[in-house]
Amino acid sequence: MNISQIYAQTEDQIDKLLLNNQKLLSNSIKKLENNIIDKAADKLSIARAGDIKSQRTLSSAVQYHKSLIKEFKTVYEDAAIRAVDGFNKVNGIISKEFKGLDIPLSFTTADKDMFNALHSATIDSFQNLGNDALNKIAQSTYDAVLVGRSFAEYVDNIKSVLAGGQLERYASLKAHDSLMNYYTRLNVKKAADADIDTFLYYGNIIRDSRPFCVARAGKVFTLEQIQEMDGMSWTGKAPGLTLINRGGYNCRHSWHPVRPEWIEDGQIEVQRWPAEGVAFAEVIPTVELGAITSGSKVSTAQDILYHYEISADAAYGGDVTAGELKKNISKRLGERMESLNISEWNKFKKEFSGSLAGTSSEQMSADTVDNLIRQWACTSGDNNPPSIMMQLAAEKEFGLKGSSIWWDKTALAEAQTLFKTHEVAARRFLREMYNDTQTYLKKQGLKTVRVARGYIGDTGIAQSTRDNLISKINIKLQPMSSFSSDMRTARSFAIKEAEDSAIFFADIPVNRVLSCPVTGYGCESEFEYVVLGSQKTGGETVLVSSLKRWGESSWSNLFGSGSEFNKNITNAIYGATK
Amino acid sequence: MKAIEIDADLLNSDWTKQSYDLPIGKELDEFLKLNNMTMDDFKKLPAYYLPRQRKKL
Repeated sequence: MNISQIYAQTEDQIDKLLLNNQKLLSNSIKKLENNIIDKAADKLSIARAGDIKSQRTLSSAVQYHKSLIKEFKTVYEDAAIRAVDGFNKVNGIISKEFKGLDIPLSFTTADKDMFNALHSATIDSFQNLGNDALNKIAQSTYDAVLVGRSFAEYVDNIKSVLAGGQLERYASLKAHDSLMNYYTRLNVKKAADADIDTFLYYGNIIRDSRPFCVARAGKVFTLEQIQEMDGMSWTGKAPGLTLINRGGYNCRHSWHPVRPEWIEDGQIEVQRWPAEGVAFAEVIPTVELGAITSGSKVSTAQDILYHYEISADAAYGGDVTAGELKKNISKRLGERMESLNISEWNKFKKEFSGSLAGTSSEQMSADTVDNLIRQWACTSGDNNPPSIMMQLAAEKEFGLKGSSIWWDKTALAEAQTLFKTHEVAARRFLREMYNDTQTYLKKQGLKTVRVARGYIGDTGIAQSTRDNLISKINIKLQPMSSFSSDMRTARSFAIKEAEDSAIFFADIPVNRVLSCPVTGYGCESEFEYVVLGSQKTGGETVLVSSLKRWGESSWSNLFGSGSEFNKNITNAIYGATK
Repeated sequence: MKAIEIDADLLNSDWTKQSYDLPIGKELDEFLKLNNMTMDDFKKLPAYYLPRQRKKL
């Protein structure tokens, strides 16, 4: 039996157990409903016309209430206890899977304790569901007895609470989720005991599958990656750990222990995006992005200079021309987008690739990425709806609630229309570029990148002087915003005769970097980093040096020129942050 | 401290477009058309006029 068959066998056994438990509860609720309707007809005074008679005392209702409590206990709660007792079969199912996978396994006292704790908690939660239903029926009974009511209406009310109603629906969901929860907890714990920290997200994709599950089914994740998913939000997500709750309420998927080397090509089917009907855009990642700062503390000014240099090195594409660099990126990202098989991307590339008729699908994807990168090189927004659409996509994909939305109303309205059509593709493209950037910058050993930025205009900060070169300032960015790791690039921009100007200096956490020239958007000769706006409102504090009307003063007067410029700037930054 | 929106105008938001990173000639025309832009629109962008000012175009 190969591993795929082993997992399928486990799923089959768990499915049978789930169905059995749901059937057990469903039957018990139907029986409960019949019993209490019979008892109502017997114990409550029914007039010839079929109405419950209004009564002066509540004694018949009280008697009936007592019998309701008894019925709930003997019929419904008893079935719930039997369903939860069935959880102990899970141990055998896991044993079988681990044996098949040749993973050592033994159950301990701690496992027994976990079972007992979950067993009690689950029975309590079934009892709570039962009590809610019981209280609703009791209340309805007292009302009916006090003021009189049609018996048929009373029965309808009972039915809406029990079989086919609230109790059956919630008990069925609880039967599913509690068993899957127990199974997953035990499975994950036993995998941890065997030093396995990679898991396969297993299960079929059906029409109602959540986008979260569709994107992950058939793929292997490390424990760390699964824990990162806790910070995301999506429709139907259950509170708590993704490792335990998977896609959320009533999720049919499960984590199975796996060693990556076990998976031979083609042995586990990697699920693809279905052609239609899955709104990927429902998945709203809310992983917390770090804050831009004026710079973490370092030992010497030289450390800051070195940090600028290694940040600039990381933005350098090596011994290829800028054109070849972008072509390679377009090919790589294009292939990735193509492999995702997202129908929305196919629509997007028809509109934005500019490819001639007859061009292969793969080439169209590469052409589309190439166009998007050029689009950024042309403008970050301006009055151009396609560019603003990408800004809106970044805002939504990364949850950048604190970013500036400043564009002209007409262009923004057009961009919003475009965004409505292309949200899925635009967001997915940015996410893939972001993922590449994160991998690349982490490989470079960078946790933050040191950047500068030129600015033309009044910052509201006093003119810098040799005694007071640098101040602090609070800034806000648009969803995608440009910085440079080359201080001279910033200076060369911040020179406009008779205008106020400034240079900002900041330290950017890597998880705020969307791209750099080596991974997507960004001009190599300007050592550009494209930085994501903030998830928090209120702005972020960075350092700034300001000049009033540069014609009367100049950056050279303040910081010197040539290599002196960088050295003096970093000394000033060091002075401001130490 | 009140925050200054450093991207809230075209020149500042496009400040890194000081080098010319776009195609020229017919390829530029096609690129602009694909992105709903005229040559006049393009000439108003920092991506066009900053490199010219810096004699990089």
